[in-house]
Amino acid sequence: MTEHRLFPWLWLLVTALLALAAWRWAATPGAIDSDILSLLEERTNANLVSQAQSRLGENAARRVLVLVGGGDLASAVRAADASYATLKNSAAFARIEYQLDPARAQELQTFYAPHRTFLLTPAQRAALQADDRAALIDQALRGFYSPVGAPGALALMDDPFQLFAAWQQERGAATRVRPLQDRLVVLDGERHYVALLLEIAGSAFDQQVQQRVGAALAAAKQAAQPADFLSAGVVNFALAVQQQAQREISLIGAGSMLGIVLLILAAFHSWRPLLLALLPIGFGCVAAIAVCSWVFGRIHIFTLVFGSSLVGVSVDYGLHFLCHTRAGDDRAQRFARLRRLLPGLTLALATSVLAYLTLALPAFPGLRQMALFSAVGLLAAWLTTVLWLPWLARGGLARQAWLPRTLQALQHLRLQGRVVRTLAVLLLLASAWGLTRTSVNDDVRLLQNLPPQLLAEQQRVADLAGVASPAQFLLVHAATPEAVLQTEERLAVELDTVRASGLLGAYQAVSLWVPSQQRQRQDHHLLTQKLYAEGGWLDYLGSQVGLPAAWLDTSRAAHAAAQPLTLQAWLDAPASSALRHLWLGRVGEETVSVVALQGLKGQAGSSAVRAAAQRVPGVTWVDRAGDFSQLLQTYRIEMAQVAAGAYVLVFAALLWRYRRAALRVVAPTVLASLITLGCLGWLSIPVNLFTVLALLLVLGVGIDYGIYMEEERSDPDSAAWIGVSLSAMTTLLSFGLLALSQTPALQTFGLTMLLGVGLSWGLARGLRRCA
Amino acid sequence: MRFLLLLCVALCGAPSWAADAMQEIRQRVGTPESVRGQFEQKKHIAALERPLLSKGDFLVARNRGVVWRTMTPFPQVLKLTRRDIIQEQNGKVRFQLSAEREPAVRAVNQVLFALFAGDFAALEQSFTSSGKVEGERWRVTMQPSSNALAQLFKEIRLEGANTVQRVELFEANGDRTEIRFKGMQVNSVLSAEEVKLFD
Repeated sequence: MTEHRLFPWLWLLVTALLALAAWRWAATPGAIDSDILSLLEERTNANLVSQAQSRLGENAARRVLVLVGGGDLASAVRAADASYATLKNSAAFARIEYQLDPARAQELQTFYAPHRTFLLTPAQRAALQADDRAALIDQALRGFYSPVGAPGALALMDDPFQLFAAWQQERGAATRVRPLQDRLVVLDGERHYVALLLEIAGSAFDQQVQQRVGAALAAAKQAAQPADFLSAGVVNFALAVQQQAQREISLIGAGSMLGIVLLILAAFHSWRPLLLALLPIGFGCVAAIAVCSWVFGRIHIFTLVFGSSLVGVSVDYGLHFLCHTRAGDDRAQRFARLRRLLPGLTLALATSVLAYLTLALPAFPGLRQMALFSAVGLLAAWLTTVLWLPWLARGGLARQAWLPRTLQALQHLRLQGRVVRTLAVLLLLASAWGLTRTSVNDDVRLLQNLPPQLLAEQQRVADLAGVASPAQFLLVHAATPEAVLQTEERLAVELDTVRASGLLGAYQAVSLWVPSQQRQRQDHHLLTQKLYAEGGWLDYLGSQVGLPAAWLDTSRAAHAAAQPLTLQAWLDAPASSALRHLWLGRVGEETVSVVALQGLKGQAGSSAVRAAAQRVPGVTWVDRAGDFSQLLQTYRIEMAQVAAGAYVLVFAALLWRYRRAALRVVAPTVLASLITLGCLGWLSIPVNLFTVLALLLVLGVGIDYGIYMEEERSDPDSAAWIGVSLSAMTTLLSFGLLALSQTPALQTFGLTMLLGVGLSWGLARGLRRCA
Repeated sequence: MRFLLLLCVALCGAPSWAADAMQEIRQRVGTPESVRGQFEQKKHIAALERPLLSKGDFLVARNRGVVWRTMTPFPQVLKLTRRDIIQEQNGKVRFQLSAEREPAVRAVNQVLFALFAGDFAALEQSFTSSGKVEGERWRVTMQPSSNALAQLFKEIRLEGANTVQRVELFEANGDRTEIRFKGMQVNSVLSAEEVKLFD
């Protein structure tokens, strides 16, 4: 059937169409996704938390905070001006907040001051409730007798008890960024830093945007010299991950290509088989990219990294066929050889695709992409091999060359049965011991290896400017906005206790700036009763410092006429710009806000805040890193079950064809996997989801070796053995290079593949000899 | 004659005349390591019927800070150090602001240090000043040159001889504080307890 001339051309047409689709995808901006979390996100979707998270995430991911300076104020301002000019001209940013117009510096006062008799600090409220007149009067007198007023405070007569001054001071404590000389300044001892707040134009996970932003920041850093230039933002991390993955794709891709080229030249002494072996890879990659982009829209960068490893696998079918052709074969002979190999090749494809497709079973969107990418790529490579190679192949193995001769010698190498048995027993004992030492680690940080200097810079900016954690926060949800604010206020009481214990630095919440109407009215009433009543504390203060009666009356009237601050007014005002993102508004049936946390102290801090959240109904603790580590663990366990299931399925398929011999086909791979786990135990490398994934692929690849060897048990001219060896070497080359990856997850994956495939290959030979 | 005088002034230039005066004043006051004495403060708040009077003593230690101790009408200690502003009453901290994290506090602290110590070199970094010497005595008027300080002060006037004897602060919000110093001692040795005050 495959001999018909029509099929190869039909397949070529299909591939050409797919290539067109792949090319269109590659030309689309944002075609490559580098958001690490999008690999994992799907399972938590469709609930309040994830909707709120994605809204918060989009907003947060687009912001970059830059601090320039490190010396005195004048030099910091000079350097920041230079950076600002560069950034402004870069067109990488949608918005840059830098110079403050003087009115904005006074914003805090002009916006909030009219509502000041509705705004109290917890200490003030406590003093008023406890009827502690002395505390408030002392505070007022200190103000009246101090040589100068506190910086940024209202005139004494507008705030005689300095209640508003203290409220302002408490609000300011959440961040260290202060308006000074028309700039936003952070002071750290003697060092001044000028802040620039940037909002990038486009998504932080868009490759082109990342590169534009990266270049703009680098230029701005150059311009700021010799001053320090610190920047912090999700885009910095995304860029680092992206650049690293890109470097690794080229390294692994180029390395594996080079290795394959050299191997094939050494085995065939001809360029033609090389081109023929590459043909299925090319068709495979094109088809995989086209189908994946059609199904998923965007392809994750990890899928591409993984796909580059696929190169090493899809070359196997072509190689296996080419090892069986001979110089002088005519077309009919080549098709005859193909017919003989077809059951083995098909079974190899079926088992590999089966193994790769099990990746799609867990609800990881990223894994589903990889599963589809691999399965489609392999299928296309197989089709190309079967449909085109018999037409195009000429010649055969260069049997006199060193590589085939060495491999052949290796096949006929006879070891003493005793030596083999002793070695095997030692290896198994050592592995068993290694297996007892196996540990697991599901930390999500394994997925990405961020450069330490980037992390240090981010931490420095967070310490200086008081940046809230993007990974851990609280969601407050209730039926109405007022109810949300009231819930936040109940939560604040709990959080203040955690703060007092030192486990939490600070928290940011909308209700700190706009208390609930209930709270504002209560506070206003408290002031009416205690301060502004006839003969109240204001009258008493008046008698102490000589406040005129007319002023007292005016002050009373102003208090009575004042209006509370409303949430809507706050949301509409420029004064809320820095904190507005905390108010998520309507999400589904509910109103939701975020309480952001700063300076959370490790695991103890997380547990304390989580416990505090549990005591207040309507508050949800969100820990993205923790959640994802949890997910990775769940998936590791699920994948281990999937892998076990895949073995059973594959074994059943083999049993159907090979009967009792099926055990011999499976044994090398099973043993290789167990020994690999043992080695990891020896090396104290913890097992994670990626180890399990690699073992699943070892199954897919290793079983093929068993199948090819079993199909040709006599193998008189060693064609099967040489084919398997070349396959194993190409696979080792591509996956072995993954072990060089800087990303811990890929590194573990590569190492497991290296050990697993190497052992499968060796054992496929070794066990046969023993038998 | 009048024309000649005008010509003289024009040739010498008024600013240089003032600058010469500042030079003279700087020399007279010097840069003492410490200054201590008593003060009498009169704070004029526009809306109040009468100025608020307070008395006490103070100590300025160069590069360390200021201790401003009010005795009447009620005891209170105000400490300005490089690190913070602290108000204490009956030995308890009532109010504290960090000068290491609050640029505005830092700026005000530096001005007050310099004012009480008569450190004109430091003051002239943030104020434009003009001085006048009349025999033993001198007078200086200063206007803030930065926005940050302009939000707090409109003008500061100083008077003195070998030490600063009178300071008048015109705050931006219209309040005015007049401080007179008496019994000034320059470069006296700080006791161990006094040194500890600045820690």
